Amino acid sequence: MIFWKRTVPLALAFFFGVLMIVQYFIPHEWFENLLDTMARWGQIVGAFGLVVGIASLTHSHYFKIKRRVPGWGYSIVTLASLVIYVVIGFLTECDDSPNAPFGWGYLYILMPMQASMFSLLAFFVASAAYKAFRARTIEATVLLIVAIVVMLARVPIGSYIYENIPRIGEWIFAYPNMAARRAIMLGVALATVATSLRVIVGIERSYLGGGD
Amino acid sequence: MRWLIIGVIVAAAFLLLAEETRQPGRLILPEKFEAKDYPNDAGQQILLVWSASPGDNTNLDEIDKRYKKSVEGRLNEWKNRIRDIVSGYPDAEGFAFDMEKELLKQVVEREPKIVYEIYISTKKDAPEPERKLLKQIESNEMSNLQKSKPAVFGKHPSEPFAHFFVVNVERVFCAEEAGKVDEIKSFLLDQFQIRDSLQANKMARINAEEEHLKLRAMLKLLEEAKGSEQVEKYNLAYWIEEMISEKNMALVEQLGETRQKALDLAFVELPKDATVGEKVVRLQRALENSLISSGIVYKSSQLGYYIRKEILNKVDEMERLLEAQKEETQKSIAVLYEEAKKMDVKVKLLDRLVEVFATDDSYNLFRECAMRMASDAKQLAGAIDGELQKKEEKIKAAEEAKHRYDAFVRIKGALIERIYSTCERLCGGTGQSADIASLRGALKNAEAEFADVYSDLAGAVILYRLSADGEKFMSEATINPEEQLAGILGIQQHPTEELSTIAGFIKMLSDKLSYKPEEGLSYSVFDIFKGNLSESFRLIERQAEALESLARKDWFKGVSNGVFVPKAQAAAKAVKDKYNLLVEKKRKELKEAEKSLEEKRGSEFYFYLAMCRVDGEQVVERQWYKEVAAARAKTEWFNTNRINNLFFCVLLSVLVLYFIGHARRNPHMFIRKISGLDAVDEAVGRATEMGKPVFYLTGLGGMSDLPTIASVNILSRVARKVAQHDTRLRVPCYDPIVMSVAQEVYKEASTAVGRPDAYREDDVFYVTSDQFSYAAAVDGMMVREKPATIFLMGYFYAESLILAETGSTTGAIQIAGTDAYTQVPFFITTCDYTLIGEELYAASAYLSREPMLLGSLRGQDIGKAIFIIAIVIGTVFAIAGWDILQLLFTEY
Repeated sequence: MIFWKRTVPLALAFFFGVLMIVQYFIPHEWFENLLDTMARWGQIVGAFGLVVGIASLTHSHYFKIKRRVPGWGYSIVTLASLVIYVVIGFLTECDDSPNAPFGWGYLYILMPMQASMFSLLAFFVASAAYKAFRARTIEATVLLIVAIVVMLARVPIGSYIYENIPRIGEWIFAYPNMAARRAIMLGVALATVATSLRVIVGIERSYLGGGD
Repeated sequence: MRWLIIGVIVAAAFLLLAEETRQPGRLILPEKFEAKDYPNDAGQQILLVWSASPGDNTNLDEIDKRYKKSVEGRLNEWKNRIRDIVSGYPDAEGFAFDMEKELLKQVVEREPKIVYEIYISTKKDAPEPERKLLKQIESNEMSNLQKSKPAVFGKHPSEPFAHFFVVNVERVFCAEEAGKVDEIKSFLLDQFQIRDSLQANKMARINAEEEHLKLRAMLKLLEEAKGSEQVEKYNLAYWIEEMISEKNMALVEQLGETRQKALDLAFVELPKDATVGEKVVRLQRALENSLISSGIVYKSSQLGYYIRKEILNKVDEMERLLEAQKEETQKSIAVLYEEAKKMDVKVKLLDRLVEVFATDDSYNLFRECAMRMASDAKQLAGAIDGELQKKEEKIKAAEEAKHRYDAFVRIKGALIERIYSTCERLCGGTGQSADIASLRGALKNAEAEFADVYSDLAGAVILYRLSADGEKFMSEATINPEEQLAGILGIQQHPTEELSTIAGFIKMLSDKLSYKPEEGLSYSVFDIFKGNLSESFRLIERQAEALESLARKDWFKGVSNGVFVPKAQAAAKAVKDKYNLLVEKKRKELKEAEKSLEEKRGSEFYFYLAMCRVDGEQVVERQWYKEVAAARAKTEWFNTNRINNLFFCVLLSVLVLYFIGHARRNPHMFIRKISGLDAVDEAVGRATEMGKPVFYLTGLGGMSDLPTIASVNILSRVARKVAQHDTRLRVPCYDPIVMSVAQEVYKEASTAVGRPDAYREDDVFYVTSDQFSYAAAVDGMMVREKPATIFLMGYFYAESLILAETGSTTGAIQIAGTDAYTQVPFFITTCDYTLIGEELYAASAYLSREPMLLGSLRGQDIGKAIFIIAIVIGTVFAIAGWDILQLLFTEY
């Protein structure tokens, strides 16, 4: 059992991890083809993953309806939408044109709903900004001042107040902001290497479940 | 001392000579020109490198500087002279400034440009005519290295004075062979689609046969029904609808005619000896025609209105356009006049300058420049004049167009008026026109006439009832009311029906024909008529269906007799055989083409380098580099360009592995405190106390993304704590594969702490793979279930704030971790603890406290220290102008 649940996955992770590292340094056609093949495998496995996902979704919502858990009405809507859309897709051969039911549903139902969710972001940003800019500490005060300058740099009134404000805004973006970003990116890159190594050599096994 | 003076003189002479050799305009060939395989690909590219010799004079900036320096003294003198000469003229300053700029530009432009040319051939020592020009390269030309490009050019990153040129062998030398391979491949790919379409064709063929039979049945039906009233009625109604939808002018005329025809038909006089039946038929027709007419009138009026509106709109639009065009042209003419004026002054000034310097030989260059500029200015002035003339002509043309358009509008207006009056006439103006009145009169007459007919008919019925031999009477009376009425109403009746039925028909007819003057000829009447027509059409359809089913029977007979299917099958088989043969043949061709491409790609190619002096587009001098560079593109087993990557990869790996080993020996290693991870126990404990679930979100990445792997690792640690505290853990997933892994991780973690019962499969579930749908669903769950703790670990996009802010409003403790630096600020503001960037990857090790994992963190930190040192040193080097560190970190 341990062999199948531990040894084989670890061996596979080690083998393919090392293979992919080696592939990066070998420009041979064989390795390029191998990379393409692996990418295709990924896509195929991903497609089968959807079946698992739909099974989980159906199972979870079916039991919500069955047990009448609070909000079970939403589960009916979810399952009905799933079935109806699949049926429409099969009947219309997934015709994406706006006049076909399949395309229409996407364009006039899903897209506006997604846009509504996205537009909520504006209000949440306002709320988050309020939290961040309450000048309780020196750091928060600095943040507030910098934020005001950057905001003014982005609107025409900024240059009316002081002509160099856009330039200051650009400078903040190009230097302090970029420096902080790159610091994070550099740290992430190193951490990525270390994590990859841990996974490849089998020290990090948490993704397999038990961990130790 | 003497030797020193001689030495100084010799050195000065040498320097002068060296400067002379650097004089622009001289072609100095590079010292080295090499071609070699470019190791960054699978044997498809060749790298050309040639040094820029010390005398390289392709740098335009250098030329510019040298020229400016050499002409500086003279330029200043000329500038002063110019200012003296032009001082009295209007806008003298501006002119002087322009003149100086032009002068400098022309002086620089006088230097012929020097470029490199790369020629290629598949033959060694190919004579000049057989060499093919691949690219002419100007100084400072750069492009990005992309495989899709046939050749790219740049400066060699490690040799600042070397030129760097990458040639894609397949695209440059083997375009024909590669094209053939692509063509065959795409042909073969198409064949799969063709094969599929063949299957479809087979079915389509059978369907077409069936359709053909249907059509034949319909045609037969129509032929039989030809001349019958039903068909005519249907055709007429259809025609009206069709014509109205087209909204054309001719329709109005035609409608008028149709209406007239309808009226003629309705009110043509009956002979005096007409039978009762004929009268009934005529009466029916009269009414129907009148209804058609009313419909036509109504539609005509509508149509007239639309046409009128459209034309008027068009006229307005055209007028606006013409006005705008005229205004714009007038503005540009004003601008051009201004320019022409300025140019005129400039030409005069330049002529004056040429005149002044005509006799002074020391100003030869300047005179030439001034002459050239004068000539240019004259040309420009001429061009402006030409443009002005064109604009004026355009204005004239616009005015003419306006006149023409006015005429057109007048004609159109008249036409519209005519249409409108036609429509009004057809509509009967306010509804009281002569036509309508006459129609009403005629209908009244028809009504009276019907009363006569009705009484005649009623008399006939009474007589029939009285008579013992009714049939004889009817034949004598030469009427067959049953047949006549049945024909009119389109209803088939059995000839032996009771006469009471006839009376019923007469009543029906009477109802149908009853005319109510107060209702007028309204549209609803037309609707009734259209309804009747539809009924008739349905009748035809029913008949057609009957015939069709008959045809179907024939068709099935055809099938059973093996007429269509075997035929289609045979045809399909023939095509399939042909297809197989063709595919086989093409596959062979593909193999050959690939072989020939492979051979050609691996052969040796030759490159020739030339330096040219170019005047405009013309090459005035070309010198060939004496050596021919030859190279063969081959598949490499190691990409030498990535040596630096390999070096850092090995260095970091060794560091990490060393510290892992070190940690085994020394398990108590210090790791800095990460408060977000210290709070995990507190957060889970809080959930236990409150009896509420813990939410864990793995972000929007798939299992192939490292942040998600890191997140799943943290999930394992969190799941253990949750299972130990007997709290509920809910994991809504964005990706089905992540869900499967998370389920397994949760299950194993629960088992590992001896609480397998803590794992509930339903608690790790798939939501959706759509970003905002996922955010909406998880927000909903947060609001309904009010979790005590929320973990947001992984890669997040714009939904991060939506999730975190909603979580914050539910009062949950939130611990977030992401390496998406754009989302970090949102988490910091809305969550209680945030793991920034690399901390996400350290979390699993930190939580587990396993020495080996902690060792890798130490290795990572040492790597970071190395990079910090490199950054500091690199900054110093960059300030000093040394790019050695930059080269070390550049992939090329």
